[in-house]
Amino acid sequence: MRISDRLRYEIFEKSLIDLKSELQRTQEMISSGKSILRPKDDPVNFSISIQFDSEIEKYEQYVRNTERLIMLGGYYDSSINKIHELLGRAKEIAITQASDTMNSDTRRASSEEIKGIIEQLVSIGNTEVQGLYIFGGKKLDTKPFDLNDDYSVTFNGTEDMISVYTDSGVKEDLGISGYRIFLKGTDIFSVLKGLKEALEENDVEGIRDSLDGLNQALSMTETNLSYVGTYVAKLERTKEILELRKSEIQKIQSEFRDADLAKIVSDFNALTLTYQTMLYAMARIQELNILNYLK
Amino acid sequence: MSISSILNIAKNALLATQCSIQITANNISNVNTEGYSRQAPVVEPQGSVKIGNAILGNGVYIKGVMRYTDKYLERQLTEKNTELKENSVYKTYYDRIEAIISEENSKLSETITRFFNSWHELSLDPYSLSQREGVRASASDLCLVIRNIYNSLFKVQMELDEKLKTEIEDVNRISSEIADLNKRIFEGSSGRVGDNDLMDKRQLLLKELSGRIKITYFEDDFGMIKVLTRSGNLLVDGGTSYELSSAITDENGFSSVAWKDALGNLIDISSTLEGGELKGIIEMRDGVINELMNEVDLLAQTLIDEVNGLHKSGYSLSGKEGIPFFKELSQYFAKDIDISEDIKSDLRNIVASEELDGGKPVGGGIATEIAGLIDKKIFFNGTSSITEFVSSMNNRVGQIARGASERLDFSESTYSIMEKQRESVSGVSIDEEMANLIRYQYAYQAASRLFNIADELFKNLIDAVR
Repeated sequence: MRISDRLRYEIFEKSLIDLKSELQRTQEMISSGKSILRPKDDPVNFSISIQFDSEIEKYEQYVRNTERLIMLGGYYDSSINKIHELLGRAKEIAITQASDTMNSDTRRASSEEIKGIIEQLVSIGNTEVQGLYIFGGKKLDTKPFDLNDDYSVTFNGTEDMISVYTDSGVKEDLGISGYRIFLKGTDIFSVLKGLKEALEENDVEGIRDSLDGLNQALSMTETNLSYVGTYVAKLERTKEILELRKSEIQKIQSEFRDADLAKIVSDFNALTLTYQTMLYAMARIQELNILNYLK
Repeated sequence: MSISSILNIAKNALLATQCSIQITANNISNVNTEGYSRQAPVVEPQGSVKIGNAILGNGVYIKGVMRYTDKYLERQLTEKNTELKENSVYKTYYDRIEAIISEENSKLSETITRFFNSWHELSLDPYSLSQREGVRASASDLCLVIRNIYNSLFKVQMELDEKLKTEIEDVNRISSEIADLNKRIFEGSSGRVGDNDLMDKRQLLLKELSGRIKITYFEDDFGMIKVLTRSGNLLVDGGTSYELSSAITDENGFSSVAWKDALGNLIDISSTLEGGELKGIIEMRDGVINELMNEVDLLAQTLIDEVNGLHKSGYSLSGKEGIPFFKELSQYFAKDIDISEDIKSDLRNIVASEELDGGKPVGGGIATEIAGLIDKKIFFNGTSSITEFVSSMNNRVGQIARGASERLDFSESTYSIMEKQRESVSGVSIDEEMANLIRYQYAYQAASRLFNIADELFKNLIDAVR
């Protein structure tokens, strides 16, 4: 083949351009740490990696949601324990004051303590966490329990709860309603109110009757305690699964998207070498000029 | 037969070698000129004379200047250029579009996920103003991203339309230059022997023209070239050129390619272009970009409909019902997507609750439902979620851009093989030219010696008769 001078340079020019763009790509890979830089490098994996990124973001959100519920679970747990303790104390009082050795004075005095217990329970029921009433059901911004003058208690919340997502398509209650803790099955406040009134009125029969209610309240509280335990345990498990899934996705993601640095660096070296060789060859070929030999 | 005829032969030889040297010099000086075909002298012996019984040669003369060119190859290159230039339009603009859509740059999917996550946060704390601030901020980010993508695509579309107009002007310029060259070649030649440089120039212009629009051309008996579009509309006929025009526009104000006949009537030939930059530009402008813009529009519309549907069914912090979250639009969803004025003016208008109790909102059900939209299959008749939609858009753009790059690579490499072949025939090699130069130099020197010899012969003759 006849090689013209223009052709001689053009061949170099084209190859140099190709090499340079390869070099540029490798440089980008090294600096970004990714092997897929733009959609056209690998359209399918690029688009999958968008979904993966979104999944990871979503899982992080679900983990945050779950952590929030777990944190709330802690409050419920300690609140219910406290309720149990107070109910136990009330039961003690009822048992003691039901005895014939006690008189109206001691009973009147004890009724004051029961009043205190009711007040404490109301204050537990009105627990606020970060500005929200956690026993109010859906009405997180309304004080759920009002203590009336006659020591009866009004519930302002709702029985059902706000639900939030803890996973794709999976909803969980945002906490436990005060209705379930204080009122469902046995109305703790009316049992205590009954006890208070029986004590005030020195009504031994009434005191004994309220013991039944207290026992029911205690067993309800114990059930609730284990309910909170299960609630938290379930959430802990959900969180674990979410994190596991997240790290699985990150692993796959990194396998096909992250650049194999060792390989890229060696590619880069090879390319640099080719580039240098080419420049050298070009310089040498330029020396091959008839004008150097003509005088 | 005389001594003076030796002088005459020497003179002709000098003239011929001088010419050859000049041709060589011209070749050397055009070593890097694109489209230049190397030239060579065609020398022939001058007619002979019969003297007695002998027939004697009468020296040399330059019959003409030959242009090394392969017409078949030139034609192929011209045709291949149509494909090359069309593909290069696709590559350039698909790369642009890819950069616009690519998640790496647009962050569309990321912003969408952040938007829905902000609703998750609100569902955990449905009365909070600061979570509402988060929702509003992420929503306004999302609107901005969608509008940006749409507007960038639209900008590319406008740019393509502008490019179409300048390309049409280029076609007209080239056509008229070819017509002009046709005239000059015809005037400066008799029959098929034309001015080599003008022919090179015309061939180069044909190649330029064919890069813009697919053409057929042929040479007539007078050495003039006739150029037609694929639809058979004349662009160049001898010394006359016909114009294309961008005056016909569609309902979007985008130009078509129209051919102007001798009476000035415009005929739309957009659909018959078959190849070249003009076709590439129209395909891009009216095809893929439109489809992508429609997809972004669908994304925006679905987002507005779904979020607003839920948002309007709930109650704001002040107990109001029926507040749209996004501005309600009837068209240009992606172009104009924005948060509604209600939300812009008051954070408390962001709805989280599904119930009302004594004028106060209860619960965060709406926030939860809106947050859940990210996993709902709300696209393509319930087959794709919003993330899948965005991801498939990236996939599609990637595939198209990749295809375009590969096609251009292929066109480039076949073109460059042909270009090499052309260079091999028509290109200038300095080595060759230098060798020729030395050859002509010796010939010149030898012819000069003839003068000396004739001179001495004359002297001897004159001395003899003195």
